[in-house]
Amino acid sequence: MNEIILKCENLHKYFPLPAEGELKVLRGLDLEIVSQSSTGIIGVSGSGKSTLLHILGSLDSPTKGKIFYEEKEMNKMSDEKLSNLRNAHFGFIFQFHYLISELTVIENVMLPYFIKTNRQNNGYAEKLLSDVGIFERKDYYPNQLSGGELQRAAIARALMNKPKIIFADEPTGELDNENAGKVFELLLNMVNKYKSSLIFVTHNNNFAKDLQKTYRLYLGQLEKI
Amino acid sequence: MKYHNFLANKFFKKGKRGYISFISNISVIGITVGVAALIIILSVMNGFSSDLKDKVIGTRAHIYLSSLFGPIHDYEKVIDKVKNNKEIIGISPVSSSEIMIKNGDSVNGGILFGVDRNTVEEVIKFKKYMVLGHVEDLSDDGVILGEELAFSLNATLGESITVISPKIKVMPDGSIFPKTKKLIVEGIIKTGMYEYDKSFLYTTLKNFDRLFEQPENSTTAIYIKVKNVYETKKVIKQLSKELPKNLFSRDWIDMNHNLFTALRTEKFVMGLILFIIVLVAGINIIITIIMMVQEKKKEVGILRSLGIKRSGIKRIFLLQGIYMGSIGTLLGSVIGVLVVAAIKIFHVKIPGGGSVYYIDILPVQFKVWPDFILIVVGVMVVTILFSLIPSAWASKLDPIKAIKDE
Ligand SMILES: Nc1ncnc2c1ncn2[C@@H]1O[C@H](COP(=O)(O)OP(=O)(O)OP(=O)(O)O)[C@@H](O)[C@H]1O
Ligand SMILES: [Mg+2]
Repeated sequence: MNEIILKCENLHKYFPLPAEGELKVLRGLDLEIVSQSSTGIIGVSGSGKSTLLHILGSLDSPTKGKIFYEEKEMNKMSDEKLSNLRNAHFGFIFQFHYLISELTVIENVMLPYFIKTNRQNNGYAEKLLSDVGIFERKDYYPNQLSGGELQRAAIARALMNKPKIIFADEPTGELDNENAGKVFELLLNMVNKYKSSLIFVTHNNNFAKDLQKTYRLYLGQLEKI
Repeated sequence: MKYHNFLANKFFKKGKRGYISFISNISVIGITVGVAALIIILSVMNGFSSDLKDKVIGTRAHIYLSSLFGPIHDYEKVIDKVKNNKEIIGISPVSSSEIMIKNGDSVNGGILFGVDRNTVEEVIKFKKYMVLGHVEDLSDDGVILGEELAFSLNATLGESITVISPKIKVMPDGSIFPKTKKLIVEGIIKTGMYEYDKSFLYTTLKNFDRLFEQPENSTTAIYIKVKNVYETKKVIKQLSKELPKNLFSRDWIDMNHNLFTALRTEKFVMGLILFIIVLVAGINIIITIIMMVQEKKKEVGILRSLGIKRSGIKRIFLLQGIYMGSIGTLLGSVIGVLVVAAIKIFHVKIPGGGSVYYIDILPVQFKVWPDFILIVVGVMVVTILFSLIPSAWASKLDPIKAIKDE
């Protein structure tokens, strides 16, 4: 039941430095994510947490190393395959909400499904919006919402296609403590309810205790804590 | 609806703020102006060309049958031989030769035609162009003058003029005189072709034969009208099989080759110049889309993270170009067609018309094919090709860099 769905081996990521040489952000990192699990990644600013998350989510490519999604090697997939993977199996939540400002909240939430099927599905989007508690805001535009409401909408959008993995990169970073706690709690509940796995990047150690596994990213490697 | 169209619509409608909207308006206006100008100018050129063609074809034959040496004798036999050809709708003998015309002190050169008053209407539209008199009433001592020729000879209906043929008469005492004859002006014709009206005059075939000492029942040419003026070559081929080898045919295209080639070239060059306007508008579209992509970079990254493929991103921006091109083409077409219609309805006068161009009303002819279709297809192809460049660039953006909007 709890099989490994995402795995990376000996992952390296180097960025070229302006003058010469390269910045080695990830140095031979290994990680396994099992289905319906929650994983925290903590580390100081600049340690490479976002970089790792982007690579795992196929938004960036590693300098070296292999990533497998359900035993298929992601490095070898075409743009089309990777796009379908992101659309149907992955959900992203970033530090900023990144909703599309020309679309209403409900249109934003339903967008991944629209991209997948070329059909609109307001029913499920409305259900998700009431789950995250902003149903009555569904016809608002993003600039009419508060920071906490925007992140709730972003969570709903990430869940729209019933993804296997949610990648969350400090989704509470921009919120005040009270709101951050609420959004984090909501995210955990939603992931449990919809049986996704969560990879949660934060530099707030307080969240770690609620996650099943936590790693610290340090000197380009992960250490379990 | 496809999601590309949905997003492209939303971006197009709501994404227009400040300078982007200004520039995309300029692109649309550029295309509008280009398309309208192409439609109007090409329609006017068609108008001139078809006006000219009408006059050339109306006053003269589609096919000219003539003999290699001297006149065609017994033309009736020749006519009987070919007149059953299904393509031929009119046939009549018409002789012609250069002559001098004299009235009082004014002397003019001209071309005298000898026509068969009973059948000539089949090949030359006298009824349409005669301003005074009737060709059926032309007597063997009568003449029909082109209007301009009548002016310069200062001759009016009922007056007599003298025609001087190049044939010479030897008098009993051995002196020689050119052969002359007095003819009474019995009609005036105005075709609107200055060259024709200035130099053409018509008498009967019988009179012509006498004046040029040709045997009776001979003619210098047989004029033929056919059903389809563009199929003259086919008819010529058929005729050459049936007729003796000394007779040969030429058509109106051969006879006016230079004129129509010049017109065609002019239309092509004009179209090309105008198409450059469209190219400039197309370059505007490239710039507009580049700016749109720049403005929407973050959205591109977000959409990629939501699983839109490169091809999907490309299509969204391509659609922006197609929207601008379509709006411009539509507006331009409406404006162009309205202006052409207005020129037609209100009979717009040409400044200085009549004396300079010999037609006083601007002629227009709107052609759906090939002009209009080619304009629309051409502009849309340019728009799409030009939109592809920035759209392809947008689709290759790195999602993370785009989200960070670097
Ligand atoms: N495209 C890039 N080019 C060059 N260097 C980069 C690039 N992206 C990230 N880096 C560098 O890689 C390092 C890791 O960046 P990353 O954003 O992954 O850190 P982080 O752990 O997410 O930090 P934070 O907690 O502040 O978000 C940083 O030193 C950063 O400057
Ligand atoms: Mg980060």
